[in-house]
Amino acid sequence: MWAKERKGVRQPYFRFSASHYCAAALLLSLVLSSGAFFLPNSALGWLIVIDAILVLHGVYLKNKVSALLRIGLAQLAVTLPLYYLIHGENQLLEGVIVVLRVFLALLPGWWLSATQKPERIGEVLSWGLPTKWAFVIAASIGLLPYMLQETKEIYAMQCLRGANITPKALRNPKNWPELIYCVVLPVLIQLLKLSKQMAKAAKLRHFGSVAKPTHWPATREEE
Amino acid sequence: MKLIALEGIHFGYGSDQSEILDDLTLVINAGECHCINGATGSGKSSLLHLMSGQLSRPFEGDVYRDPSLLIGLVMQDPNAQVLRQNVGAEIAFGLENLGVAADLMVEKVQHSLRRVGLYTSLDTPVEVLSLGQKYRLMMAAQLVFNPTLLLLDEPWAQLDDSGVKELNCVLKSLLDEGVAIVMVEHNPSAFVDLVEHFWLLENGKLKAGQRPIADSAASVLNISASVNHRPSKVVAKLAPHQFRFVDQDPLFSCLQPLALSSGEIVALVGDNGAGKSSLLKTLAGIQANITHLPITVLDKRPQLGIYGADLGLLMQRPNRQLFEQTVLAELQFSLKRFKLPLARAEQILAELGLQDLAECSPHKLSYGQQHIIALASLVCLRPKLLLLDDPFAGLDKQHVVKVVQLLLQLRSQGSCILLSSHRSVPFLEVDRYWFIDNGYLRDGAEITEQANVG
Repeated sequence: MWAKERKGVRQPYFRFSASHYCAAALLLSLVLSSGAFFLPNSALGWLIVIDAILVLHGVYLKNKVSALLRIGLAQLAVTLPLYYLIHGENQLLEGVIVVLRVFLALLPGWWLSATQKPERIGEVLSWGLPTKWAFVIAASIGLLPYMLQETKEIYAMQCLRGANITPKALRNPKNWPELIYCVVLPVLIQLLKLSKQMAKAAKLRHFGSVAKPTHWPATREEE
Repeated sequence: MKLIALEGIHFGYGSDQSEILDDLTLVINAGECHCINGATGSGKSSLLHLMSGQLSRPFEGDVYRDPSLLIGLVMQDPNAQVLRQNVGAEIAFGLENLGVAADLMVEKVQHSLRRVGLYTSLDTPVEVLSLGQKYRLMMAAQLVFNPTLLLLDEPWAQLDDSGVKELNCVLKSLLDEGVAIVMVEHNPSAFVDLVEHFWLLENGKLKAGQRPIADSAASVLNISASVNHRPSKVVAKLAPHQFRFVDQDPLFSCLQPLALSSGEIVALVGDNGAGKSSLLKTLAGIQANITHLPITVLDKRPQLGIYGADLGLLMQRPNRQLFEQTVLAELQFSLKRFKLPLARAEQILAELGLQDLAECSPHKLSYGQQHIIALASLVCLRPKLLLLDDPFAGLDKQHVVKVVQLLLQLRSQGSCILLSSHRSVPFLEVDRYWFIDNGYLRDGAEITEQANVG
């Protein structure tokens, strides 16, 4: 009886899966990031509104936006004095707009990595890109939070060792090279080591064995 | 059945260096368990990578591989093998690459998780797992495609005692199924019941090793302090508290006040994921996302950058902090910044018998040597409190002796040392143990007292 009743129910022809949602998010991010560079100044207001919605969505999903804001502020702090020195006071607003455009170009990338799993992005990219490219892009996105954590730990280690890289010490540009030697250099060394080991780990798990690999299904949580 | 055979293998990292593997021969049959011991840098990991076919440089010699051979390799550092963000997706990576249908994956992944005793949701983010849990995750990621030969790099160092016990069970069932196992291990005694063939890799050759006595790790070293010490001034105080991250359940509770005094070594022991590293980072003032805790270190609330040379912290994988061109410069870096005598750097190298390394690049040293140099760079500051996160992980006997020597010397100078480990450290004469057990942080003396009363 139950089976007969079920037979009469019309199944939807198309179900919007986690992969389709990811593809849409990827496309939206690309369009918005490109828009940050190509839109005229008059349309930037609209882009800010749309990006603000993305930020709210990311924060709602318990992602932190503080690191991105810090990058934006640091960029502003470096760019504006350079604009002032090179172009004078009149061009300062233009400097602010340039920084704003770069920031708006970064925001969709943050939202994408915060809301989509790298393996899902990899799956979507593999629809149009060779599997190896899709893996490298997805692995790089997945590596970002780990490298951020590594950077924080190396920074803390070097601060404890007495390096002049505390926020107060970094107000003096003389100490900036120390940040490069003590933190950026070890982070780059770690990144090189890690990428080599990750490539080895992927090969050990038969990466590249079949031309068309399958994909881990979206879990209930992801759906 | 012969799975893999190596014959007359020669391998080295450069024409100007002696060969790491010199005319090496080894045969592995199905269902056999081999354990290879040897000093750090003796070529154990290179041998595993050679067997797995992933050696980055050419080698000489013959390798026979049976057509049925399917190799799984778990490398030493689990962090370097994580390719995905969630447990389920991480394990399924191998299945995806073998073209296994998506609807078969979940069951295989769950089965693989159960085999390594990791009972966690498939959606669990990998980043929340402890190092030992990550090692088991990596094992599950290999077992999921049913390898016929499993290669393990230093499992004992990464796992706590319960993890080692579970690993023994997993390996036993694999051996019963006919899977061959080759592990490289500094402490073969932990797997003595499983291993049939013990080997010692020395001067590039495999020599038949002796069967170790079970749990002989305790007896490998016999170092005692040469100077009497007397704990005196309190350097850190922990009032009763619940240790928790913001918006999360408590990691552990501390019901009694605890204190650390100068001139003592305290070992903080707990299972993987118990919260040892987080507690050490909190004491150093660098743990983010933590609730306010009633902890004072050197009479101040812990905060990054307020202690100067008085507090040192050695995190896991300390080679991350190395950046100078020479070992001597690396040791002198903090001495310069804290305006302390630079001569201490040469002095500590002499005490460790490592003067030859003074002008070497720290990046070209072996894992054990890098570990010692990173520790020595903190010890020569003579901090009032030195925090060490798992300082013996992955070290061979020779380097463990050097670490113990440094710690005893520092204690004799009046420093307090708090070191974390996932098991007791019988080769080091510690003054007290702190245990994180069943969600409680307790002083070992308190536990002994309760047991005596009972």
